Amino acid sequence: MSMEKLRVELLNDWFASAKNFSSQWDQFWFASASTAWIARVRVAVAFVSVMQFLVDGFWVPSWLAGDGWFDLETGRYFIGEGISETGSAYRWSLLFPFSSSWFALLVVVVGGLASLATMLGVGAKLSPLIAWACLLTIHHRAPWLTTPAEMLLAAGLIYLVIDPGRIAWDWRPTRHDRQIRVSANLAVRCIQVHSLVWLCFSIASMLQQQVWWNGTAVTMMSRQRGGYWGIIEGTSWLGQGATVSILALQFLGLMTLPRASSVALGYLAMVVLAGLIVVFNGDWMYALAILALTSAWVPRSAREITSA
Amino acid sequence: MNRQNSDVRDEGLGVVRWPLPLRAIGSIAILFHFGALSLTYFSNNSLRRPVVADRLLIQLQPYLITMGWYSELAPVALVTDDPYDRSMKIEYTSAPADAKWTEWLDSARADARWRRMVVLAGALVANDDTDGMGLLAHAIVARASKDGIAMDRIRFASTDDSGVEQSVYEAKIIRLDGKEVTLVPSIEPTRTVPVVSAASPSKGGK
Repeated sequence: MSMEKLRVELLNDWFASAKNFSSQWDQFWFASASTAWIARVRVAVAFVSVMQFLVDGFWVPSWLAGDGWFDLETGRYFIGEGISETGSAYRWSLLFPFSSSWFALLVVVVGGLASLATMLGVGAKLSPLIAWACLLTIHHRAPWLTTPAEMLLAAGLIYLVIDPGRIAWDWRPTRHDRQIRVSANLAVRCIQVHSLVWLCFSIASMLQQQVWWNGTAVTMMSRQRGGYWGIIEGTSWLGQGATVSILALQFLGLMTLPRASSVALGYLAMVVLAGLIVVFNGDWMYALAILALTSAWVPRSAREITSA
Repeated sequence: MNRQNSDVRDEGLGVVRWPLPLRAIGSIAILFHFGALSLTYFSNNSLRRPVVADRLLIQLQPYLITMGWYSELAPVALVTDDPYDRSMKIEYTSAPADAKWTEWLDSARADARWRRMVVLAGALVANDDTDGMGLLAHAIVARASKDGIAMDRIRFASTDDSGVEQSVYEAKIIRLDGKEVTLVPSIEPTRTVPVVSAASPSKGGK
């Protein structure tokens, strides 16, 4: 075979694989999907968001008011106000200009109601947008106090603005199950990919820490966090096994969730992971947020997705 | 056909497609968003991130911070062995004559928010940010005072690997006019925390 022919064949192969990739990209992101699919994810994310705002009601007014545990002066200092390259100018929290505890409570109440409306599918895109804005108002006031659950929830809520799906109480299969939108698929895909990016960097973050290599991470958690198991010895089978299991379950989720044939196994891994987080770390909200976001991968019926 | 959106079709499961230009714009937005997000999470993993990542993060701040994607030192890992990610106790004495510290908070048994606050305190201690630490302690003392807890001295104590409790910050509380308080750190008795304003801090908390 001459060099010229080989070059042409290689180019043809390259174009074919590029075209194939482009087609798969379109298929993944821009296929049309039933609004019922994103609606299920929306109910899960919004439910956790309601829970989050209920929890927020107990701390936000007493912490983030002007004279709270994390008062205004402290809040301004820690966002780096007036210091270049800290990005403090983009921290748009309403809790800076309105610093009374009543206003803080109002933000929580509005956020909770907007989350409830999102769960029920009332208010279309406006409800998740308001809930997200309330969550970010709290986050921007004290970004150092943000928990992982809040980060995941904020992501979930803003993706729901792309397409929140059909309303919760309309279960008639005749009309709405046939309603398909590209935006519904796009919203689900964003939540799916975000959950994978999170899992990926969560593992990467853990693996740079010695405690996750020598098996003492769960022991450390038991000493420093509010888990339900009590203090666990570093050399115990339980501590070492649970440490490895938490890592392995995240790996398993990362590998199996994106594949239709193994997604059930992947979600089961996430359920077990959430259980371990609750037992050893005591973080209910984080466990629920993981379950809500990864529920976007849950097996769906053939009617919920169509091809691009 | 009941059309609610430009891309809606509700008669059967027909194929719905966005036009090519819209898909192209969408693809660029997706690549930008998840690229920036990955960079943020990658950078959160470590303070030893590349200089290029730092520069990129600063360039992307308008998008990342405004939309809430940016989160410095976010706890992406469940637990770390960083020196600042340790449990801590906040203790106080009620009167000058008190020699015994009263435990007010043990982060190991506290809720998630106090644990985050303690991680912040640990990071301040690790970075010798006495201004930040003073402000944090001042906010706690002022709020405790409002809740009827009179403190004469406050200290943050952490337990090292060998189980020995060490004071990482300690300050004497001085009441100026019955309401306002200021702190005099025990380590540097000439320093005080500004009561009225902490404008133009010399170091960033970030």
